Amino acid sequence: MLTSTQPHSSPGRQSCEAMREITATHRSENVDAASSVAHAVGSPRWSLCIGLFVLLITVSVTALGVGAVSINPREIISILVDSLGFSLAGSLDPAYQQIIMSIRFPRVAMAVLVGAGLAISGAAMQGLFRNPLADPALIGISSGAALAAVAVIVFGTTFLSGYTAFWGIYALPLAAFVGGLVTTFLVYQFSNFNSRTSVSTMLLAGIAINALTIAVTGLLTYLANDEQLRTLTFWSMGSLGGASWGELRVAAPILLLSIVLIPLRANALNALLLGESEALHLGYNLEWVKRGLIVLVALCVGVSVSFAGIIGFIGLITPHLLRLSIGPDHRFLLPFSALLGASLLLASDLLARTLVAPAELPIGIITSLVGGPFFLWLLLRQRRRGESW
Amino acid sequence: MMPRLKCSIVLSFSWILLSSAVTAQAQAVRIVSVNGSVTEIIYALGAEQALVGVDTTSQYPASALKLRQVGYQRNLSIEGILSLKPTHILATTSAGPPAVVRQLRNSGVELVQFEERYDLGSIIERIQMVAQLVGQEEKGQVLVEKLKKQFSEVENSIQKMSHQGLENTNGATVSGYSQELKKGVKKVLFVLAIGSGSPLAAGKKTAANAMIELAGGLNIFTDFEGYKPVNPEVLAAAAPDAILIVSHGAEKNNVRMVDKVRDIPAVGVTPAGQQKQIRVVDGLRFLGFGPRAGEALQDFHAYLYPAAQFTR
Repeated sequence: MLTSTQPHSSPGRQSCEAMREITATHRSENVDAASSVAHAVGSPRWSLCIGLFVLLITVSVTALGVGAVSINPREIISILVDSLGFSLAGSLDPAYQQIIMSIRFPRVAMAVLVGAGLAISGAAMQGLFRNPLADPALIGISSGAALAAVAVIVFGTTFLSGYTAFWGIYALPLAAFVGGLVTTFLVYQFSNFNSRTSVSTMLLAGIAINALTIAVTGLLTYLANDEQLRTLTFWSMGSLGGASWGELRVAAPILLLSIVLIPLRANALNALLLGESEALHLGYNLEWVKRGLIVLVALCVGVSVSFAGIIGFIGLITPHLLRLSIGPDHRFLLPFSALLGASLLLASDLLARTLVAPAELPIGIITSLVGGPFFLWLLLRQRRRGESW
Repeated sequence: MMPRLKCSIVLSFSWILLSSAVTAQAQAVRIVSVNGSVTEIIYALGAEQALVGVDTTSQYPASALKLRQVGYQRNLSIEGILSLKPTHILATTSAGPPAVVRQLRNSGVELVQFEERYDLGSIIERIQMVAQLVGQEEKGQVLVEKLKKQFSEVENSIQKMSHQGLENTNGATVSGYSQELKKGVKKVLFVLAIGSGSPLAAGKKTAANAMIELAGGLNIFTDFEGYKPVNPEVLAAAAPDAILIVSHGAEKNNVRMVDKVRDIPAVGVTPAGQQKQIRVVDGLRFLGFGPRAGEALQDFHAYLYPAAQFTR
């Protein structure tokens, strides 16, 4: 069984140049992969960790303080303190109080959780597929979720009306979530052979299933009317505008679960960087690792997509940014991705809700518009240094 | 300026052609209507026998749904339309795609493109044009008079109220987005679709904005054009007194839609949300600027200002 594994057949193999060097040195020795990775990279890590925390806190405070409705900081602080049960100032404007506590605060919290979830999922997927292009969209989560959501938007008043009636405002998120899970399951089944999962087949199956779901989504858009079309266009570009405490109560536990559990697989992912057979030799139950990670990522991204629509680039770009400074060690890459992803999405949402106020930009536009050129610049810089990714 | 000029040239040109052709053989007119409100006008004039095809926006009256379908007005296909052997195609300037519209214009079939304007004048223009085409000028005139009366009654009611000076029940306006509020004017939010995040609200240059203004209300979003997703904070701060939302499905969905709108956190804190001043309106009737625009306007005005008195 072990001999049938071909470490060089994975398309993602070529991707991690740095890792290949490490692999070359250590392949014959059966050493702990994680510690060898840790050796290869310098350690500006703890300062970076603190830096990321400070960044997240700064951005969070800014995001709470700034909005389309301008409220002065002192009032915001008294509102927050007041909500904890203490009262600072004598009288608070109830309108402002509601804007901060029931609109802005849950939105900031949602942005932090979704950003962290997307980024950590992206990092996990890139590690699992050993491919720098891998992101949760690749295995069908986003497109499956999109298909289900579009179906609810288009048929919500006709033959899905019973369903939408029963679930109310949760009808769309629930459908998106289930849709994402179902396509992921399908892709997984396709790549599962003799109780082993071929990562490269999974990528290809993902591409095929993506094409299928996008085609069906297209068919549904053809059936949609004017208003439905607008809804689904904006939905597919993402928005955190609907965030409320009610939604957070549903989304937060699942997102937190993934954000906490995914880093526990860091050592296995490090071993995987050496190749599948190497990881097996090192004693990792790879099937368990793969299944566990795919379920966690599907849950996490499914929930994100269902409450915030499709937000691109955060999952792809965040791990790359971090690899530049801390290298590919997943023990740091995963939690740091969560921290940075949260800050990035929070900042993007801040722009989305203030740039064209009182209207809003879809957040997916911001992440891609800012993320795209930045990513290109990184590539250029890398090339100038004579390094490849 | 140019498109409008071109449009009126097209209009007046077709007018000349029409008036000569129609008198000769009014029975032979075969119309494809690619606009919901134009279809409504044809039915209102009792000329539906001349109608051979409609587009997907023609949802009223119900019998229009049984006619041959030519697709969505912004995504027409020339063969489908020509296969119905129409003598006239009635459309608006929203008809598209441009290439197909060009082909239709060159196909030898009379193509009339009405300008998309949201006022009484444009309804009258359409009615008179269609009435002449189908040879129902008298019915057309009756319909025009009825609409004029309905619109002017609302206008008179608004004027009467502004003389009396209504008391505004809630004075809540938030700095930065408060407009020059006349005392007592009701602030209205028009929601095209709830979506999953920020609701899609009507800005200026929309049919919804025109109806709100005509009914004596104040649209809370006039900082942008068209329908855009709006920031929930601003929505809450603007404190609308009433919220309108478009319905598409059956009546039974309406209650649910009202609840759905109320569940949006930003709506819950507004006067409209708290007093449940949320109304589901029929898209074609309220926004179509067709034959039912007058009654829709009167209903809406009476909804905003229950104290308003005018004969219906």
